[in-house]
Amino acid sequence: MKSKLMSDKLDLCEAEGEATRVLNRFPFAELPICPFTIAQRVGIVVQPKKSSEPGVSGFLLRVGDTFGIQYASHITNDGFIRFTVAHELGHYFLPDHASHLFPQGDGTHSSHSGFVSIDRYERQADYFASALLMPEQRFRSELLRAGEGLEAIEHLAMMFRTSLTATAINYARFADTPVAIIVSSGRQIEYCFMSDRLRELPKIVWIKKGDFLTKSTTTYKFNANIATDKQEKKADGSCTLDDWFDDAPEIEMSEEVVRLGSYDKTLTVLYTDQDLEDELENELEDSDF
Amino acid sequence: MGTPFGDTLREIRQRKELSQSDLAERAGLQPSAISHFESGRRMPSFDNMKKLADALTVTIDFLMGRKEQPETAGPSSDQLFRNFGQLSNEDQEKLSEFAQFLADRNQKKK
Repeated sequence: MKSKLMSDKLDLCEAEGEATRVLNRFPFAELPICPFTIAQRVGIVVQPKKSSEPGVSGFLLRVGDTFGIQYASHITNDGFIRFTVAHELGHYFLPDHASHLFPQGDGTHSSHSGFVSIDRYERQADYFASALLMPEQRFRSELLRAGEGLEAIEHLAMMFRTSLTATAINYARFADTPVAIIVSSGRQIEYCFMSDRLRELPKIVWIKKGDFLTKSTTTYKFNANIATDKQEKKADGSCTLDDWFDDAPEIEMSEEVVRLGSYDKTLTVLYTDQDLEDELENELEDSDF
Repeated sequence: MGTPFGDTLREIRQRKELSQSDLAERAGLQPSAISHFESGRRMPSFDNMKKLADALTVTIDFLMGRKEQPETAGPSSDQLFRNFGQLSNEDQEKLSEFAQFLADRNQKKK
């Protein structure tokens, strides 16, 4: 039986492959990639759904041979809207989604807001959307020029016209340095993505949804402040890796925090340009004494 | 093991006296993809379903085994809103309007 991790990796590869095929079929000479144009080219009608209720971010509909996408317009974040449309395009272009989402062949498929979906097909549509809007080769080459931390993520988000969250997750995925992206709300963590360099650390304990923020972190203080100060948008500071990850080495990290648009959520970027191997060696030497 | 979709696809293709390669060429797909769909090893995307339906001059509904006759396209209302109960009242209303808009478009295409 395939492990969940393996199956997830296969889903990711399939989504990226399909997004690449779509971009080869409908090439864009310049950034940003426009999901609305792709929808138009395959004859899908895209419309905003004027409603004030949160939750359902997009729909894919099929009526006979006619397809339509509606996206929630109560969120005014352009990057989020483009991601939603690209996600619904994923359900249209990815194999097996038709039979899974519409087993009787017809109907409506609705998607909910958020970047950590437990449903395999929703997660694969998210992978597709990321790969479509931020094609790997272009993203990697822009990443090299973008610098590091939140400033780099904001620059990339502007270039690819993607949301800060989606861009930050991709940044962690392709960064060659130790990076963690954490989304939190109030005193609790919602989810965390780590770069490969960070995952490779021995004995690092992964952060789980619902874990509490450590009081000494900039994020904890920022989240406590934004409850009273609605104007506060950003903060930065430093921390050590073990403030966030149990059993992690005591490596100093930059910590940058930004409040996310219409949500009551915070995005934290942890990064360092230090060579982790040197840091680990130093720590080992210190512990020998 | 075959699937209802694979069986339908094979039946229409054979009725139109097309080889898997012929159909693949008409639909702009790889011949191996047609073989996979017919055998049930893979299920197509909506995009590929649309290409197959166009190449065979039938509707997607017919390919999916939803309609007895190829010319009777168009969904019935109970099938249209499979997830209707899970949506808010406001969303249901918006969705219903949008579905009607798409149904009108679908009708005009025929």
